[in-house]
Amino acid sequence: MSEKRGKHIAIYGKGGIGKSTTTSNISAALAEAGYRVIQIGCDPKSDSTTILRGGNDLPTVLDTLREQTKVKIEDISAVGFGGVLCIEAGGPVPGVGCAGRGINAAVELLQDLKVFEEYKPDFVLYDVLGDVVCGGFAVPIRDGIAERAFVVTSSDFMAVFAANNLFKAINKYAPSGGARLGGVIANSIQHPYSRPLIDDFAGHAGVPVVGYVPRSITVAQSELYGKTVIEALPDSEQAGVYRNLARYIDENKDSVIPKPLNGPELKKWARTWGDRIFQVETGVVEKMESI
Amino acid sequence: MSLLKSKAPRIREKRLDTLNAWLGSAESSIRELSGEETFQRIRTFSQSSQDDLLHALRLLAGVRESVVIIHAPRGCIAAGLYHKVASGAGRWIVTNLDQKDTIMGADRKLRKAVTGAYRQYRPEVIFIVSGPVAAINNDDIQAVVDELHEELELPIVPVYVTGFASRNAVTGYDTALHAILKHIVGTRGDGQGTTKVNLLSVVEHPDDRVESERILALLGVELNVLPDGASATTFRLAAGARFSFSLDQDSENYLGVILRDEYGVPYVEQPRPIGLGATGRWLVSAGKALGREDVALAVHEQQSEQVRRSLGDFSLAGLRVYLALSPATAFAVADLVSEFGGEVVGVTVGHLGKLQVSQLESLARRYPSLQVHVADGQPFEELNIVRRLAPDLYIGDAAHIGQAARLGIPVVSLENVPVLGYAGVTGLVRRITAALKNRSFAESLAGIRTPYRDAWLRRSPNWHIKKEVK
Repeated sequence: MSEKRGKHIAIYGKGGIGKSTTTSNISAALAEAGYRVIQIGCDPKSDSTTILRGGNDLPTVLDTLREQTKVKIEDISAVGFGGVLCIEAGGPVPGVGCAGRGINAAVELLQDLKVFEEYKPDFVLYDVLGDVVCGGFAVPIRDGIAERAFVVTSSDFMAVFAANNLFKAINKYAPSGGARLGGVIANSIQHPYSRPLIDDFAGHAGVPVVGYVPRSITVAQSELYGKTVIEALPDSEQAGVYRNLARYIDENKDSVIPKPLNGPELKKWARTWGDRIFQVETGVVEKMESI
Repeated sequence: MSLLKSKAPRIREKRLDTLNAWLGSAESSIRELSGEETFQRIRTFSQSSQDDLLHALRLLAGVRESVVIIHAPRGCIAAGLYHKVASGAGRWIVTNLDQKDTIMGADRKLRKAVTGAYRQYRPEVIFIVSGPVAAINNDDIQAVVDELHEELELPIVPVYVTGFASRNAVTGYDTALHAILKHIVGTRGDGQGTTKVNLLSVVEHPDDRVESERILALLGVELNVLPDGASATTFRLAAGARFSFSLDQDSENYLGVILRDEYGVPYVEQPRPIGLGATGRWLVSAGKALGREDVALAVHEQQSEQVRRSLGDFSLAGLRVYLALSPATAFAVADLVSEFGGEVVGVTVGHLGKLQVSQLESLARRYPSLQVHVADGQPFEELNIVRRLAPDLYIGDAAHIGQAARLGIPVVSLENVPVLGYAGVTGLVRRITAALKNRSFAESLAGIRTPYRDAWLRRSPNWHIKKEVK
């Protein structure tokens, strides 16, 4: 990737896992460190960049394309905290069309508008819905758009399951020029077993865990103010966590091709962890010994 | 960034401001295409149009020792059949995508088609052309290409056609050429050095190929002709040629531009050699690029003199002519008409963009009020224009001439007719003379009613062409 283009990074994860919050805080931390950042929400819900923009409305690329044929970058972007250029791909009216193709079309439009050449970003972060990896949603990682992907997961099994699916997609596309995996971002760490569970899963898939984001009231509080933690509570411990993540993404260039678990392996792995957590909860084992 | 990095080229609308719907004078057409922003037009009523799949398949059918796999539902083979009939060339297979394939992906079927094609035909290259379905569900063609390319040890070229991204079917030529250059020629600097000159010929009548090669041979130049009739080796050689030379500035444009911008092969662009003047300019520009301008001038003088003698006192003076052809041919034939003293009153072309501006400028100087109609498959619009202009002669492709003949106008079909070079002038003049002399065909057709009601025909010809104002 040429330096002029900036580093293009896709952040995937199950819906509702805190992907947009994490991405926005990373964007804010990178901007705070003096970098030029573009954040592109690739989710039909189009709420990726809300907390970077103080909660103000931003027309999505696809809504704008629906209304007009000549689209300018000013029509579909807003400058948020720290100068982060915020863009929401958006999607079709719920229940019709194809959201995956929508992402495709939105990214093509940004390339046509020469957004990257003109804005000259150091980082472009794609915040991608990762529940369903159909062909369309895999666009940022399969067509050479992003060079690295990070996967956000909590210790909930469904989030791990979604992460494993994303590993499958990366594993499939990376050998033919798709993005490689930068690592896992462990989010909403609140139970004693959360961190070891994610570490163990990552170990099985052969991927690094690049940061642990504890569940914190500061996040909820900042979001209620329509801000990132970096902006609302810059001196908080949580802000430091996001800054560390941003620093990792900036300084570390490592990436891997994950080895996803197959169906029976994942089921077996999950059962083992079910037993371990049950033993701790029921007092069969004390002091997290089973973990 | 390399233009070949992307899967497919930018569509003509974006790359060259190409319009597929327009009606205006030559001067207003130039203003539209030379302004800061070209506004696309839409049709509120459209009869039919070709798509880029047709054009991509037409171009690929000309590549020697190749097999084309159409990765699409079976209906899409209609596009392949069309060219099978039109050119008699090309071998193709369809993957016959069904309901399940659209959901689960069809890489297994594609793999089977590629290996089957390889075993049966032992080609030098296999093209995989996607259709609209694969474009929508993002079927993973690249994985099959990567896997089988090594196993079968031959180039497997994915051609990412959508069938819907562009309104201009000519985009299909660009898409096919992009794929060929990206996957067969490879990265910058891979071309082997050669003293040959690329002659860019996309879709030409075989006699036109013979004539253009004959004329250029008189300059003592060795040609590397592509993409029509080319092999994988021809394409690789092209990247190291002395320069690339035009036969059809419009169809070949992407090939000339990429060979120039990616591989450093100069691109000598020149309007099609139709008519004596244009053939002379075409030949002299090749002579200049070769450092043999004097030879070119001498050849032209000698050849054109022969043709002039054979034409006798042929003239189009006082005749008003309408043309309905592909853009590069239409504007070149307009030159020929003008050369013989005729007046071009209107042209219908399938598309019009920045590539045609300089030819339009030259036409506008001679015929400022010339009507320029841009339409692919819109006989109603064209009929309406032609009725109003009432030309004395109509020159067009097979798709156009029928309804002009039914208006009682003498018609000349250029479908499957050689038009290039000195031989082209003689042949074309013979056809025009025959059409003008034998008027009984058009006269006996003149009474046939058109399929359109009078109320429709009273509407302005651009009634259904609207500017996109949003």
